Amino acid sequence: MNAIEIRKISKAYPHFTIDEVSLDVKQGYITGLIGPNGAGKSTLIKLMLGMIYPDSGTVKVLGRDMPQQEVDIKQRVGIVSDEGGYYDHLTIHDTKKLIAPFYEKWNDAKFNRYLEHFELSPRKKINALSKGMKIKFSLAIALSHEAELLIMDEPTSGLDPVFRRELLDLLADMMLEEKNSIIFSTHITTDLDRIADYIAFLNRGKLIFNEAKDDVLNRYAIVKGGPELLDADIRKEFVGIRETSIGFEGLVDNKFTAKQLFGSYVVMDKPSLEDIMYFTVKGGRIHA
Amino acid sequence: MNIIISNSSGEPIYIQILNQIRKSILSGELREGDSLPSIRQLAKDLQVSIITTKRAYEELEKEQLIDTVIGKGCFVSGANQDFIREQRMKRLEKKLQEIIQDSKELNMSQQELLEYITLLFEEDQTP
Amino acid sequence: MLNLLRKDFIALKSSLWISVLHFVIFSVTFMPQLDTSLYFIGIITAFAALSLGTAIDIKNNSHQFLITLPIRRNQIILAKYASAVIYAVFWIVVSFAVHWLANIIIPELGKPNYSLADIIISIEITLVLASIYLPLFYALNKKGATVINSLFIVSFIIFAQPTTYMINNINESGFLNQLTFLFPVATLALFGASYYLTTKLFARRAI
Repeated sequence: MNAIEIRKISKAYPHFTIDEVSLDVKQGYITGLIGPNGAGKSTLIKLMLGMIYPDSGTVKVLGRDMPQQEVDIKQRVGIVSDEGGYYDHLTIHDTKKLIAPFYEKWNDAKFNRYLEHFELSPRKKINALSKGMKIKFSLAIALSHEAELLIMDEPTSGLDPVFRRELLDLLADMMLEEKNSIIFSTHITTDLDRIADYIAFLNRGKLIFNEAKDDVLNRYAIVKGGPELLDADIRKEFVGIRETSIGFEGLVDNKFTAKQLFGSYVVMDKPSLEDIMYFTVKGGRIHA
Repeated sequence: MNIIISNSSGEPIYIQILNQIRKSILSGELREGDSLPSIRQLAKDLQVSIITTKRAYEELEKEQLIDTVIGKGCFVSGANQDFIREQRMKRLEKKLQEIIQDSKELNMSQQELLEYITLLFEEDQTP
Repeated sequence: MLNLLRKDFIALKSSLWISVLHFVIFSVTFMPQLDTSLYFIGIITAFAALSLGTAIDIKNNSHQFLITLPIRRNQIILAKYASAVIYAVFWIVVSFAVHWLANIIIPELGKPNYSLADIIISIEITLVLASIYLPLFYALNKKGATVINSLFIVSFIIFAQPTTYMINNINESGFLNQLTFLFPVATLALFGASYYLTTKLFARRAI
């Protein structure tokens, strides 16, 4: 079962295009949508939510068609972002009062517990909230209407490391239920290293891969060796390569072929998601 | 049962989980019918992905060391001690074969290898 | 829909006094000057209230979060049209009450005795204006919508006088009386068409 099914979605802008992206977000798991700034992560999320209409392609959320069944979908989806669009002059309490009646499954007790846990005063005005506090507030709203799917746009970017860790716990709490799913976008990949099950990597409006994180980290490898090993054919084996006068460091997407090719002439390291992102985004030869 | 994960160890996390649970079962620390944390609870406690813990449990199930009862959770399997012993013997056999292979590469005779093992055995027994 | 109206009420609660202030300023300005002050005070205050409601949405990018709520886009539009009706009825009735009181308290102002027909015509005019304004508001981006808001208010002030002469002339010719019964029908048709147009404009807009 998939929580989100995107099929061949395209959206063209003057300087940027989402190009026939198909993506399945698996139900019961956490998917991390990674990519550099400007890769199209936010656009893709807006397409999922019906905030932007695609030029072509379809979106299904929780088995229902977007936007035909958007009301049903949004009852069961929580959206977390720091650009909430809430009314600046209202207090947290007023904003809650304004939002709660829209949801069938609103749980006021739960909401108050989250406010307390996040140390948010209900009397505080929206315009007095920091970026991180806005994320917390929007998370409290999302978790208080029993959302089965959490869609988070850059949730960790405004948060301090302490709350980031706490957030991981909150998300894991939600994931104790098998029917729940989470997708979040980020350009900081270290948070994801811990709990994401799947990684979808978006670069320049194209989906590079959407795979189980462990498989990704197993498939790719960092290869380091002396400059004399490189020639035009060998360079082609790399997704990206950084060369200096004393050696090179490159990313290969098939560890096993690379092992056969280089044998013991090179050092092979496990890559981090950041390594994979860096070399893929840079591509080709990087001179340093 | 304790499970301790090292991020700096070269071993994949699911193998670390697998090994530690297996060790607890084979050593008798966990007995038949004892319940294990659910896949999702363990992922939350260790702050690792669900797929990681799921994979470890799947391996343990394949080795018939645990049973998953849908809706109830995971339990140490009723597969008997003979089976567990048999499993351990199999692993031992595999390791011994590797040792024999290595000793051949070192041009050791069977006698020499046996003497070497005896020596180590005695050293291990003297505190 | 009710939830959306409730939302507007909560969001605008603290700016209610601005509407009251508008009403007072317009009353003081227009009552001594215009025979048709009933129309203008009611209509402009109602319209100013409507644009307060839209301005607050633009200022906070509220569509960003409205779109995440479990509602259809056309319900957002419907609520705005409904609030236009509510503002129109409310402020015009208040305007009528104030004029009626003024006639009793300060008869030297010489205000005419307004009738129910005047109230209905005022409401109709407000709805016609809203029918023009709302599609523009939802079709334009943030900057454009801000411009439209100020443009409408300014044009009210400028056109108040000439329109009054026009209305008086028409009134005197008796032309209006014959067509009065057609007006509500035409207004409702226009209002409905405008709503339909706005939902179409808003349906595929990027937010």
